[in-house]
Amino acid sequence: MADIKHWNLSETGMAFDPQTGESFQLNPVAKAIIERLRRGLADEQIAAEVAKKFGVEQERVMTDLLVFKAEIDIIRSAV
Amino acid sequence: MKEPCVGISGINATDNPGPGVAVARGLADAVAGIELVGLSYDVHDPGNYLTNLFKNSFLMPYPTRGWSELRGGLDRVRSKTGMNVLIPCLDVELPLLIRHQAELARTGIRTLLPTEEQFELRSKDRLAGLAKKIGCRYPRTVVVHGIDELAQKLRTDMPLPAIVKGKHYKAYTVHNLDGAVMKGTEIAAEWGYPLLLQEPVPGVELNLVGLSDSKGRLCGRVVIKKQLTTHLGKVWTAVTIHDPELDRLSERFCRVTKWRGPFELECIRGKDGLYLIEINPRFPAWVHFATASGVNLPARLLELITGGRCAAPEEYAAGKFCVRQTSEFVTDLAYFENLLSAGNREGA
Repeated sequence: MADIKHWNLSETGMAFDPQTGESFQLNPVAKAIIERLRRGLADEQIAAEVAKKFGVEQERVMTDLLVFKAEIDIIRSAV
Repeated sequence: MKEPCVGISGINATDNPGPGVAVARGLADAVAGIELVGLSYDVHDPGNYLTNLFKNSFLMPYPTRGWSELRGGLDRVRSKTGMNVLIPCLDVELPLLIRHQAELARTGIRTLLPTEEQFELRSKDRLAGLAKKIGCRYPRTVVVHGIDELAQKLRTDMPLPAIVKGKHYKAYTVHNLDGAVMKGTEIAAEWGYPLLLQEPVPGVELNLVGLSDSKGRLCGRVVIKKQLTTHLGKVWTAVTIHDPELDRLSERFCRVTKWRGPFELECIRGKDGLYLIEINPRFPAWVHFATASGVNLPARLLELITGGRCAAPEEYAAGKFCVRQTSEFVTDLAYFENLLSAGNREGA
């Protein structure tokens, strides 16, 4: 997966990759996921925490999480 | 050495800016009250009228008129202002100044310029060899010495689209033979031969401004990614980034060439890695972006020129955002008249 640990993440959800200069505007769910990925949490724990935070089903968050991780890699490889 | 009085050229802060005003801003930021003198080739150069930066500004003879005239111009500036340091910021001046830098030093004007050999190493028709030496990819490039040869190479050796480049200035992407012939003729008419045909590299354009101490040591650097450019490819908005591969390339460049003074590496990060596109033998026009990001390379250069050494390289934060802007200021017509009649702004 993309090396998101080095991304600069602002309070407003702007992510900046200091190695490529690319920046992304994250929605609140994406921001919550990225924050937890950067802390090294397991996918299951991320899904559980995000589901609780936003009041949605954990299975749905898990699906979104896997898609999101794949998209990050696509973005990274396209840069 | 006496207090430095620094002559700076390239003060054409226009839509295609020279680096001179940015260099002056860096020095003024670092040394309170430093005496700076503008060296201009056009009475309309905006830097001529920046009285807050330059204590005076002089119209200089074009370098194409030869060393004798250019030296006469520099002597005049020196005698009127006490100029004892020169930071040339335009490519076209460099060959003459490099050739005569020892003579300049004897007259009391100190510089830090590349040697003739270093200057030639990074010329566009030799850059492929240097790129190999410093371990960097270089786009496939063919050198041609006439329009017939250009057309022939495009028929046989180089696929379209291609980039037609002059040895010194200008580059155009061309998509067909007619366009290539037209642009090649245009560049050759202005800058002569050879021309270069280069394969375009898709990717992200990265630029590094650096300073080398002539012993092979990198004294500082900043890497940016251009975000928005003018139609000439000049920075309009950009962001600082950290690119370890480009950092290492700049260190190898300094180590291998023992480069003397400022430089800019223009690169493209393609799918398969970093490509070197061009090396400029001077500060780029965006050098104040580096200064404002915490790496004041003009100040470091002045330290090198006056003291032979400079402080340890400064670090900078990635994610600093640079925005160029246009602006106007109103000044006195007398300055314009003085430049025309006396050859300098103050009319002294």
